Amino acid sequence: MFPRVSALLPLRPLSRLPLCSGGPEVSAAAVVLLASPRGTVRTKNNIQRYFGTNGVICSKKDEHSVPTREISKETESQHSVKENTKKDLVNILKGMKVELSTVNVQTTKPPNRRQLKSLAASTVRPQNAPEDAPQKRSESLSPELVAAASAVADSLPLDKQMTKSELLRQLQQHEEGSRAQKDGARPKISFTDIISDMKVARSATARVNTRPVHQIQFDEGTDDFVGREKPADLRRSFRKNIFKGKRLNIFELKAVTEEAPETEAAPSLWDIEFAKKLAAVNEQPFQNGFEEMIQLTKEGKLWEFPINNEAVVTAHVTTAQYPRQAAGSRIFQPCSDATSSTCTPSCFDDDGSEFHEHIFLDKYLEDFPKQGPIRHFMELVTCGLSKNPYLSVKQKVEHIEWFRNYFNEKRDILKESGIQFN
Amino acid sequence: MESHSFLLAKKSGENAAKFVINSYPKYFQKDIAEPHIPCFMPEYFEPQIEGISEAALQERIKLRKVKASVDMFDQLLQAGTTVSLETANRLLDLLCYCGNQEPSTNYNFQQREQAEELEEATEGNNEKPKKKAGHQLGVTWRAKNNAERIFALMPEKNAHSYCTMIRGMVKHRAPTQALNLYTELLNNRLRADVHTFNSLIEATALVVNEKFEEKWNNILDLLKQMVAQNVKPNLQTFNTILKCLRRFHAFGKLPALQTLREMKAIGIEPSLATYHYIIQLFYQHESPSKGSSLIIYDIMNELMGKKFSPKDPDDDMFFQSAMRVCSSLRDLELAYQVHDLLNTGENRKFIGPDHRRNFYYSKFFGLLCLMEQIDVTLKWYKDLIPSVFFPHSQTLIDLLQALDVANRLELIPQIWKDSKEYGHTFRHDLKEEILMLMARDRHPPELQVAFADCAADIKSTYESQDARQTAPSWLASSLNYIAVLFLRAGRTQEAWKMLGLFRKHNKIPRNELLNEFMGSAKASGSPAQAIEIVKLAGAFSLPICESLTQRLMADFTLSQEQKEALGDLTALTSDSSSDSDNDVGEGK
Repeated sequence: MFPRVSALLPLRPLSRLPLCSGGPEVSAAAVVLLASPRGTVRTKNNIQRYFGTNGVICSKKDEHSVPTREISKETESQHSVKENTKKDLVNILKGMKVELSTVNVQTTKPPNRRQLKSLAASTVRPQNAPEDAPQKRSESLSPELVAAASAVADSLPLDKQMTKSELLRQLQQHEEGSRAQKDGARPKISFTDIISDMKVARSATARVNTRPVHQIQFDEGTDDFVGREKPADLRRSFRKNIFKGKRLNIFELKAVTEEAPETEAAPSLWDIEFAKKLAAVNEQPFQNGFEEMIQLTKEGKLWEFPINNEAVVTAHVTTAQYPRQAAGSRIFQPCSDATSSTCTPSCFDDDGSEFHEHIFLDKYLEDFPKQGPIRHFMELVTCGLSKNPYLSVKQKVEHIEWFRNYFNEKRDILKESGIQFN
Repeated sequence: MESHSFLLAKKSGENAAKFVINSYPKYFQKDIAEPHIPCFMPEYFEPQIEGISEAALQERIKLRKVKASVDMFDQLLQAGTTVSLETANRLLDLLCYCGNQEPSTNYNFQQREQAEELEEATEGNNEKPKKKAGHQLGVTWRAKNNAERIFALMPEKNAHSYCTMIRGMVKHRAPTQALNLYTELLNNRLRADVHTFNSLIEATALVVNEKFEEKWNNILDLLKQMVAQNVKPNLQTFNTILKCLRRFHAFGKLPALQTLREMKAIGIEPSLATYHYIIQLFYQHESPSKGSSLIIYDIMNELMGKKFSPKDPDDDMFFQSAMRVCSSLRDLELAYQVHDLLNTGENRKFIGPDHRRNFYYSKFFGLLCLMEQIDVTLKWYKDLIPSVFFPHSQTLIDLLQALDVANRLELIPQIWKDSKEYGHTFRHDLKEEILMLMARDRHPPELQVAFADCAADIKSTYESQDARQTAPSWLASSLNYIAVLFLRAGRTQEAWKMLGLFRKHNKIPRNELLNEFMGSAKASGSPAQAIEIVKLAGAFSLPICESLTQRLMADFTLSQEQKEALGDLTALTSDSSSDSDNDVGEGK
């Protein structure tokens, strides 16, 4: 009738669990099942004691609900992390009718650290955490638990097999979840020579999905956790962990990415100042002379290389448009506005003509006679025009045109002096 | 080291020249550069357009003359001309940004005094909460100031007007007014832009006397309103949320992660500032409590190999906080990871201004001294110091302790030489540490000689410091150490001079020191010296005097007058010492 007493290593006795009445195996099993891996452990003796004092195992609902309520209260007060699975289990148990069963329920032995169970994720915890109480809960579902679960399933009026598998699944999830939290809470102390053969396999999803919002608890673990050593491998399992989990769910991706037709106003003072601040983030003193020269070029104090002859022209054109008087009223602008940039068409003249159009003006002399003083004269004119940087090509062509018209008009006079035209 | 100060000197010279040119523009009109280089010409800060017109107003706004603009605006209104909405908005922008104060000019050395003026101006006018270090140095938004007045005077207001007012209020810490104005904006069925919403989020966090939960719920409300008004959030939205969550301490951790996930989910890439806020939130206390968060590892895993461009003005704070966390967690691997990230691409530009760079490297090097093998540490020492940063004296002390642990004390004289170059010549704690390490144990003779030289050098620094200051700089321990080092290296003359210094500065020599001196006197076979020692001990009334006397008697043969002198001495001391029975009989 009473559970078999098994030899136990000294454990931290659970003094806080006042299972006072009606200690059916089920609730014992429930306590065992629900016990946090960290704290609430019960020694065999306690169970023994409880069974001793409470001989009658009642199957009344209200009496049964009391210990479970107390169980749940205890678990709530002792655990700083709650799982919905736990709640579910308790709820299941609450609605249950209990009868005495002679199942051999054993609490788990303090686990042999190196023991690897095959049922659940196999995590080997470090042996040398002496300040911690050795964990009562085994790393994986020990056969005793399975037995307990099957005992529960047997006692339930529901489908036994399904209940059992459900319970086992819940237990497994609970195991993994609680272990995950505990592992997650370990601060990092890398004594890698001590922890040499650690393996971790766990799923993060079970843990993060079921967090009630009102808990003041952050995902990464508990605060009151005693310092634990942490293997280097464990860290890798945290990859991308911060990005998995609940989000605010306020914005929608679609709504954000679609381009609303916003009218772009001129940048306001706020925008300008923000841009300035942003540019200041990356400011560093010069690392070498090249950076200094880059900065000077940006300011306009150094010419750009390869040197562009026409850089002068644009500067003249733009400054010519604004008289010096008004230059004072302009706010100081960055130099790059005034001087030319490298390879844009603004390098050249306003009408985009290149230097060869300015210099090689012979093609406009085709209508003039090939020899004689007129030719000489026109060649001198073109020579002078080609050296003139202040006129545009159009203006130069106009000059030549004017001369053509002039000589055409004065044909008669020229004929008298005997100059040929063609 | 010199290049750094040279660059700084150059920059400050440049600033000074610019200041002079711009203060007296009429002397600098000659332009000989061909083509024209606008940078070299003086800038014009005075408005040129005279008369009352909107163009004049616009000019003053452009030149950021707050008072002049306000006056012009008032004049325009009095003259009856209406100011266009856009110009009025620009004026509001200026007023709200500058907080109704004249903005400080760009010259660093002027900024200081102007800032102090600002402070004085605002101090008298409102009861200010604690000063916030920042640009405005405590400029707060006063009720009924110019901005509000002009806002009220504007015949028509559009969304931009409200927005800029809200932003100004939040910037100058008037959150409740900002929120009220926001309700007004909603009442007028206008739509706020994303920047305004960012300011409003900040405002909800600034409101005092509210619980964290309430504030968080208000922020969530605002976000929902953003969705309702079809305003797209940007990076600054989320960064502002995280910045405010920092103040919520433990409560803010879960919301911060949710915010981060939201950001990722809608495709906004977090910037370095985002991670900086998260680190600050999760690692708020310097010393790691039990079970400190592991989120830094997630963050570093996420960031490895990424190159960044500046997206948020706080981006340059990331590396400093990351290294601080590494240091407090004592994780060297992680520190290497962070340093790798710094050296990826152009990320080194995010190290920030000088003090932040120094902080980063001090923490990094301290961690290296603590955790890394000595050879690697020394390699880093050569690489980093002084080319990358100037070590604090604490850094050097860490290095010395690392040398001590690794038993490489022979490098100490080199470190001392380096320390002098870095300007730590007069640092007491550093010199103490050096002397202590050198004098602690006996070493092979060559090393002892090197140590003695180093000690002599340090002694000279003490003496020069003495000459400059009135307060004596000698410490008893340093005297002890130096004397011991001299003795051990066989420089007995100087060692004996040290004894004189003890008396001069009224410091008490240690027992071991006196024993060593006694030993040395014995070795040189000079009883006079031994008597000197005993006299010194007697002068200080040290309890060791008796044992010294006994040793003296045992080891040396004394002449008669020496014995008498000794007797007087012991008589003196015996009066003051507690166990005096034997001594009375001695030497008589």
